[in-house]
Amino acid sequence: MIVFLVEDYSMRKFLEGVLPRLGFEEHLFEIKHHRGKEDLISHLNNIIPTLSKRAQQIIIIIDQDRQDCLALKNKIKAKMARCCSCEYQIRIACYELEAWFLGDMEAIAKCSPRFKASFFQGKKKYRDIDNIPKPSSVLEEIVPDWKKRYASKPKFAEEIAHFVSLEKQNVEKANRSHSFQVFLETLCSFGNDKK
Amino acid sequence: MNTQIEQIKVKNFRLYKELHVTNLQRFNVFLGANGSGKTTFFKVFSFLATCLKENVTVAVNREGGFKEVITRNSHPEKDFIEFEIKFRNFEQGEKSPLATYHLKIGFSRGKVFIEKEVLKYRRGRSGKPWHFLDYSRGIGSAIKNEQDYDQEAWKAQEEREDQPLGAEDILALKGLGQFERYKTIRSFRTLLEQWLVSNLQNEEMRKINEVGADQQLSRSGNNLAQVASFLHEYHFDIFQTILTKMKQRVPGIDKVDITINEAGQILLKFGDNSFTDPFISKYTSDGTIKMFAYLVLLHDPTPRPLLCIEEPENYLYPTLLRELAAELREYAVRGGQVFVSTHSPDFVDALKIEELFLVKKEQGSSHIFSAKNDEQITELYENGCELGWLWQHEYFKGINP
Repeated sequence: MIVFLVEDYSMRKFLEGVLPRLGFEEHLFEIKHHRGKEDLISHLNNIIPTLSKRAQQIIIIIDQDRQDCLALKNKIKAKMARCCSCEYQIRIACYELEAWFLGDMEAIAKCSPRFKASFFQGKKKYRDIDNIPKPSSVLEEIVPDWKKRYASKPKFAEEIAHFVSLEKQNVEKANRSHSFQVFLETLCSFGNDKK
Repeated sequence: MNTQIEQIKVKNFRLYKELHVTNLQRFNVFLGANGSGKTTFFKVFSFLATCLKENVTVAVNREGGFKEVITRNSHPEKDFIEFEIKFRNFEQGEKSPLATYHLKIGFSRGKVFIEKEVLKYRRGRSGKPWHFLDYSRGIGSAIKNEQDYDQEAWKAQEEREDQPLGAEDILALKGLGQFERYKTIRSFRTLLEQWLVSNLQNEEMRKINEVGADQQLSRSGNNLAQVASFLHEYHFDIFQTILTKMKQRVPGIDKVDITINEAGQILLKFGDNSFTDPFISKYTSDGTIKMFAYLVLLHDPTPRPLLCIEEPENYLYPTLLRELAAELREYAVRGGQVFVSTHSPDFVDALKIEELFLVKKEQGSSHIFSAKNDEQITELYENGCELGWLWQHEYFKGINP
């Protein structure tokens, strides 16, 4: 059993769509979503001892937001070291989950047909996806009809999870977000022996 | 602390094909999705109370007739609706025996009848239980030498007397409970009569009524002003406590007045410090009147033996729910056993694990489990997680819709 601890409902919806595409069977993983990063981090001491007893692997996925990526990771590591009795990984979306969407303009276009992927792909701003400060706001700006069609972020996450590229080799087709690639690598690595 | 129900068994009553709830505490909270069976569980108590106050036929008809009441897929004329309540009556001393009241209701040729009604208990671990009451279809007997049982149970022989009830749908509890000589039966009857399944209605509570001398809040709360006036007159200290709490919880409220108008009607007025004239209850907010009603209900100088409240969180500000939970627990400790259903994580956060019960519906039939029976929940709770948090983060399996 692999337990995913994620910071919010959007990430949950995204994982629910992506994991089966990577060959994870439903009974082999469990996702626990929280009410934000603080809610997740502050409860680690309470929940990890129990969860790590029955999990083979715990994967924590959170947004970097405006924090220092390494400091954030070390903070969680320090907590986990004290209470976790199984293997664990920490994956951070830089700066937010929505960066992983912006990293794949083609997938956005599949959700929103009026969206012109090529127009944005060429722009300098979108070369280094993981350095866009507020990807969630950018997404709202550039997706046409966002307000009409996506009253909530989880709805978009759920939809794009079906289309987002899981390509690793071909740079042309791969997601441009580096943090997404690291996340994907993690899933594939132990996917090989457990799937 | 007079009585405590410890176990309940229900068979073929609506959603409950086969229900067995154990480890009931003085204060019990039930959690479940919409339609999982919380309301139906509380109906068991109002159903039994109606059986006693009226008769079994009336109770069944109020619920829409026997075929509606009996669980779907049951045979109305072959299967029976059954209730079994195991309780202790602490009026009989600290080490009171576990008593069982068993009622089995059937339906034949358009008529509801009582197939079996038994009230029994035994003292100590050995010995045969005495059937203080044993009836079927209006015929049966009761023990008349109760006092012997109290003294030397192992030696005493029960002496029974036949006492026909005259109808197949009347509880022997009702027929016999009125006689002084059947003490045990009588005390259980009194107990059941005072059960309250509270269903406070804002509109009802705002109604202006004649002056009366009600001492306890009714089911709908329509006698709120009378009960408040009773407390004001005879239990002024309690009234003051309620007032202090109102001031702390409802911003602006600085007093509650009770006045009688020329027509002899009783009026409840809530004073707001920003206005000179107080508001009569008709114009106060839903939350204000609800909070006042709960305080009046829970500060009752003589608590009900059993009080059921559905979703007390409605209309109330979330941070007040912890205090409400504490008040319900105090009420339970003072004497009444309390059953509450809720959808509020804030309310659940204030609970101890043994007070929490989970109502789950599986394949059309509902069951109730103590949260304490779930190892994982217990461990997480002991690790410092609050129960409402665990519930919201989906650690309660099978609860969410």
